[in-house]
Formats: sequence, structure tokens, C-alpha cells
Amino acid sequence: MPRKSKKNRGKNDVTSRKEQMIRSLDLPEEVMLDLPIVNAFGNKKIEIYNFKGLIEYSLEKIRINTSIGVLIVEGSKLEIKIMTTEDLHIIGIITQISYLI
Amino acid sequence: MLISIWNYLRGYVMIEVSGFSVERFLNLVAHRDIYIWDIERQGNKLSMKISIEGYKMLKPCARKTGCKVRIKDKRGLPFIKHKYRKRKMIPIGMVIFIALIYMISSFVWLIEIEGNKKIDSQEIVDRLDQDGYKIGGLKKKMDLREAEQMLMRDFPDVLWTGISFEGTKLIVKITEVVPEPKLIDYNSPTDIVANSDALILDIVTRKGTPMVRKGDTVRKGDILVSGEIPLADEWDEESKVSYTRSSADILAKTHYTVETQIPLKKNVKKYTGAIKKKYSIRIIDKEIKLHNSKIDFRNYDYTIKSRQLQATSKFPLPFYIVLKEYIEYIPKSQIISDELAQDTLRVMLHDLLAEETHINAEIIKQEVKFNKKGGIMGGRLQAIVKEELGEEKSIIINDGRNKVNDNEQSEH
Repeated sequence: MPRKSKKNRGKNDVTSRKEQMIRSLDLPEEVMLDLPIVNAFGNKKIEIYNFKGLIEYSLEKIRINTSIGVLIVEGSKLEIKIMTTEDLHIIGIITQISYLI
Repeated sequence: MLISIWNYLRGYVMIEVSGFSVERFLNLVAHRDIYIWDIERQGNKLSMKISIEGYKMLKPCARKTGCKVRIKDKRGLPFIKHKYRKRKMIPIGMVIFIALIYMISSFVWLIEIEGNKKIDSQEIVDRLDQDGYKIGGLKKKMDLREAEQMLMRDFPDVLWTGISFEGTKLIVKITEVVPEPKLIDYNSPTDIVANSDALILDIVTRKGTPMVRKGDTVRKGDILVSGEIPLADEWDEESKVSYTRSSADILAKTHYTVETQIPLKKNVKKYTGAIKKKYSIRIIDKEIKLHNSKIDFRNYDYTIKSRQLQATSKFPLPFYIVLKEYIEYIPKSQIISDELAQDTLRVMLHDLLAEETHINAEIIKQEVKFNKKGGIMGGRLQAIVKEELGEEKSIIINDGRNKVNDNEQSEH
């Protein structure tokens, strides 16, 4: 267990160093770090760019795999409007957006 | 909205996917750049929409993930095309329809004339008709500039005209000449002449030489006030004459006789209230009756109402709905009593008198006589009227005299 945590810390150190470099060079963070972008239009619509894949889809819950962990969208009558490799548009009545890291 | 129209034109398939891991299926499909949209969960199945090309690439994805794909619906233009591929008359019919509309809209179906007050619209339409600018004429063959020239040439009262097409309408805009005001030349000499036989009651002369006095009787055409003014000259034997535009107020008593007559028997139409309506359709000049019932009225009046059909207000079509209304009546002869006839005659006679006399005329004395003769009542009104007398008449001067006049003018 302690080994594992050490490894984890090491990984975190690397990302933070990378982050620091990107910040100092004034580069667009989300592109360089491969972060997911979530646009929310009130509680009616969510647009997610830069995701890795769909894990679960039901009318109440959608789980999406991203580079930083699992993105969970909860609500009711959820519907995937568009799905391509880059973007995922969800419509419905959204109550919660959360990350499971 | 626009995207859905695009999708409809391209055609799409509504599919139902069921299986153990539909999410994996979706990931795979997205990964292969197959466009899918409107994904909705229905129980343990997913329904979604996919383009026709995408559907063809779907089989390996389904096999790999162990999902079952079922087509629910095919939508869009390509499928409709496919369904009607053997019915060749549909595209032909569409082409014919478009050609027909194009043909119909290349003719003139209504002529509108705007801006005319004095000139009768029908006259203009008739003139245009003569040169081929008529309803049913081909628009291409009409040279509007020439028609404008033609109207300006043939109607002297038309100052300007602009003819243009508006859809299937031919619009003629007209500006009429404003009538030139009648110039009164106060320098040209005139006499005042009696316009009827009269007895002069009063005369006030402002300009000119009075030729009559109060109490004189004059005949029609007599000079009442002369424009000649003799210039008395003590030293010169030869008297000079000056000419002026005479002006005077003359009040005179004149005598009028007017006559008229009316028949005592009168034909009256007594409408029974029975009306029959007949509709028909008119295409250019040909009339098609919609129903063939006979009119069994012995005597009837009829009215025609026609309405032109229009595609839009700018595209009138050569079709008319015509409504003919037949109204039945029974002819009846009515005999008017002598009293009623005399009353109407009296009114008629006074109207006639008012037409002949001066506006400010005052009737001093009047006498009406009636005589009945063979079903006709005749009336005769004799009246003595006090009114203004005299009309201006220009003096024609020969050259010698005119010179004197000119000299006289220049001295002023």
C-alpha cells in the first residue's frame, strides 16, 4: 500500500510540473493537458468535448470516461443528441454533474 | 431545424440496438466516425438515428460487441425516391405542373388602370386592345414603351403614362393634364348683350356706355351696354372712340315657357321575391355551366357578378367564377290618378325652369296649365322671372379703330 501511494504521488508531481510549464509558456491548458470540456446550458443541455468513451447510459445517469476520471451526469429523461469521437451532446433535465476521480 | 431538413434529404434509418453492452457499441461506432444522433434509452434497448452510409458500416460493430440491430423505420427522400422509382408519371407530372405555371404566368390576365379621372378606363382598355395589349396576350410580345408612346399620342389628355407588369397584371398608370385655367383677358373690349327678351328693371353700369334705360323692353341679341366710349373732342370734328370691357349689373323681367308630359299608364315590375342563382366558371372567354337547370320564370331581371381567381394578389389567373342571379317579376300596368300626375308634372316643370334661368332668379308670377289627351298628361308652365340679364360678347374691331385703341392704351 505505501508503495502504491508513493507511485501515485510521483505521477502527480509529473503532471504538476507539466502544468507549471504550460502555465509559464501561456499555452491553452485544456488542449495541452487533454482535459475534458463541459459546456452546460442551464439544466437542459450539456456539451462534452474531449472524452474517451461512454461507460454507462440510462435515462437517469450517464457515465463518461475522460482523461481525468469518470464524469457523471445525472438527471431524468437523458438523451444523447449527438455522439462522435470528439463531442457528446446530452439533453434532458440535468440535476447533477460530478467527477469520480 | 436546418439540420433536420438536411438529414431528411440525405435519408436516415431509425434503429433499435439491444444487447449486453450497448455503451461499448456506441463507443465503437463513434470511434469509427459513424455519425449517430438522437440516442434514447427505451428499457433495455437503445433507439437512435443513423445515416444510410453509416448503417452499412454497422454490421462489424454489432458483431464485435454482440449487439442486435433492428431497423425500426426508414426516413428521408432517398427512401421515398426508391418507393416511387417505378412511377414515372410523378416526375413528369411535376415537370408539367411547373411548365404550366410558367406558361400561365407569361400571359397578362388583368389590366389595371390607375390615375385616370376624366378619361374612361374602358376607352384606354379598348385602345390598348387594338394594338394587342389585351387580356390573354403574351407578355414577351408587348413593347410597353411603345404602348406608352401610343397612349400619349392618341389621348391628348394624357400627360404621362407608365405601363408595367406586376406578376400577371398589366398596370397602366396615367397622369392627366390639368385643365388650363380660362384666362379672362380684361383688356379685350366687350359689349353686354341680352340673352333673352326682357323688360329692364334696373341697370347699373360700371364700365361702358349704357344703351338701354330702366323700363325699356329689349329683344334677344340687343346690345345693353356697349364697349365703345366716344371721346368727345371739341376741336376735332372726327370723334375718336375708346374701347373697354364693359361691366354692368342689369336686372330684368323675363318670360319663360316650359312644357313637358307624362303618360298616365305606367308599367311597374312587381318582384315576386323568387331568386335563382346559377354558378358558372369562365376560362378566358369560354363559359362552363356548372348545372344545367332551366329558368322557368316568364319575366326576370338578372345580375351578373364575376370574380377572378388569383394565385396571389399579383398573379391573377384566367379563371373566373360567375354568379348569375335571376330575379322574377310580374309586369303590371298602373294607372296614375290625375292629381298625382299633375303633382309630378309640377315638380318636373320647376326643375326644367330652374335649368333655364339664372341661378339667382326669382319667380314673380307663374301659371301652370294641364291638358289630358289620350292617356297622356301634358303640363305647361309660364313664368315671369326677375333675374340678371346679359352676356358678354367681344367686339371685333377693324384695323383703323384698333390703332386708336392702342394709342389710347399707351397713353394711360
